[in-house]
Amino acid sequence: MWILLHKMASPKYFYSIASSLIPWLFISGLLMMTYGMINGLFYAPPDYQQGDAFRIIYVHVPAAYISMMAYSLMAIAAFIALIWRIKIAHAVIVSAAPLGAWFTFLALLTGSLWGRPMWGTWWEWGDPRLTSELLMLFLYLGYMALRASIPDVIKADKLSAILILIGAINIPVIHYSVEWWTSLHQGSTLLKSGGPSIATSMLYPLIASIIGLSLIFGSLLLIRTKAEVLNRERHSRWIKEMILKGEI
Amino acid sequence: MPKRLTLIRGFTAMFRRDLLQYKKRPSQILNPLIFFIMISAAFPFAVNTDQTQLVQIGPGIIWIMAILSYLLTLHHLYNDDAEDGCLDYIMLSPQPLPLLVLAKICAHWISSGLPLIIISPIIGIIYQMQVDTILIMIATLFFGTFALSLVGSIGASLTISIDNSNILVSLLVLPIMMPVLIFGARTIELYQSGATTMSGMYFMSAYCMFALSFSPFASAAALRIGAD
Amino acid sequence: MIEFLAIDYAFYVYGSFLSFITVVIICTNNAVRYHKKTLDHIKNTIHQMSKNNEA
Repeated sequence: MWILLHKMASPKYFYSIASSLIPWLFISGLLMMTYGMINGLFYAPPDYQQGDAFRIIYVHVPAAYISMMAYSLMAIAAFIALIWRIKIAHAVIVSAAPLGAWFTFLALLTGSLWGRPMWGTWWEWGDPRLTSELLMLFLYLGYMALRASIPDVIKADKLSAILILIGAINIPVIHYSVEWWTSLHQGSTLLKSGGPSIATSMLYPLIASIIGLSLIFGSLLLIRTKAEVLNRERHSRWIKEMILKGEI
Repeated sequence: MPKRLTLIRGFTAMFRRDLLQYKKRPSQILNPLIFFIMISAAFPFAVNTDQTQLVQIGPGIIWIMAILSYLLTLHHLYNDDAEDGCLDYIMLSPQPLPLLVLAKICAHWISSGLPLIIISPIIGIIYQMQVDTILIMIATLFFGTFALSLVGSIGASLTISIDNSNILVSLLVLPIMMPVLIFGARTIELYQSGATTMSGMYFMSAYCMFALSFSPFASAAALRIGAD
Repeated sequence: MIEFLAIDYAFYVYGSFLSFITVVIICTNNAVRYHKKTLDHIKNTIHQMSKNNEA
């Protein structure tokens, strides 16, 4: 397995692995997501407290989970890129940023659509989880702004990687914000000691949605990283050979 | 006999040099200060508030205006030295770069942050704050400006090679500064409504310590990368 | 079918689901088009170069 990881650092090998993985990831992600959403929307029993509005959980929780996971992925990739100087990690960070930003926006949007019937307000400024999630969106946008304003690719890579690492402190803040401060947002239901505190008929579609969206995110990430690798390696020989042979 | 090369000597040399630079260009210090005074005074003109409302929103407004005008001073932290080539010499010195960066940050805070803190009671009086509230405000601004110097130096070091990077530095630094802003403004408000302020102070000093421990190293790394 | 649409807070629930689907479609579209654009550009360049070499 270490040899596989070692090989993935080479752009050419990564390109072929990604090409074969993408359809599997996308299709399975789409299937799981559809199962989760259809079941969640129509077949899960209504919550005794929240009625039918709780069904937004089936889109809100996956989106929020992906927003945090994408940033953690970018932070780990930035670490790998700066310490071990593996160039493909920079391509991964560049590709993950717009996806992560979209999903953060989606998490905020669905969250506020859920908050309106439940808490009576579209937004609550004192709430730590909402504020730190909004901060996460700003961190993504700041990263993209920094990249866009530095013309040299290598310098832009390294400087933006430092920026990502600095902002990584926000991840535990978001996660533990409901424990550390009083918040309108509810506490963790899944990753608690003692098992998830949610009924199984509601739980399975939720887990399916989370896994499905992660798979979709993974496939989109691989597509964008493939494009980014093409962009960066456009002068290298393996691309030329593959195009002339018609393999690509 | 030549003087020994010690860390303290390196720190004080860089510190003194930067203070001298700021002293030679007083407009760099005065302009943001005047900006701070003007926008803080402009707020009550624009928003027609009565006495009690002004007292309630005062701390938050002063904090935001202080941060905004402080962000304007960050531009001069590294750009002036980068323009005339001194930054390359600084990076070639045998002293460790994080130490020199820390000296620059301290000099920047003394020349830009301290005047802000000294002016803030006047703004506090405009916003009808009591004397003890003003003291709390000064304490919170002390931590806040120092934290902003530290975190802002990271933003400034990342954007050295970019022209007109003022807005970009603000964009990068503000998300990281939000916790300090929230705690600083809320501490003053809590004091006004009678609660204790110690938790906010502890948080802000912890944030400053945290920023102090990694910001010189991050800025030094970014400077080295940015200089090819 | 109508009874499915008439759940409580229908606007909010269906609004969230629709926005979710929209965002996923936008992201997929974006990614695939970006990949196609880069690949086509490189293919054009390389075919152009090989034509120039043959000529």
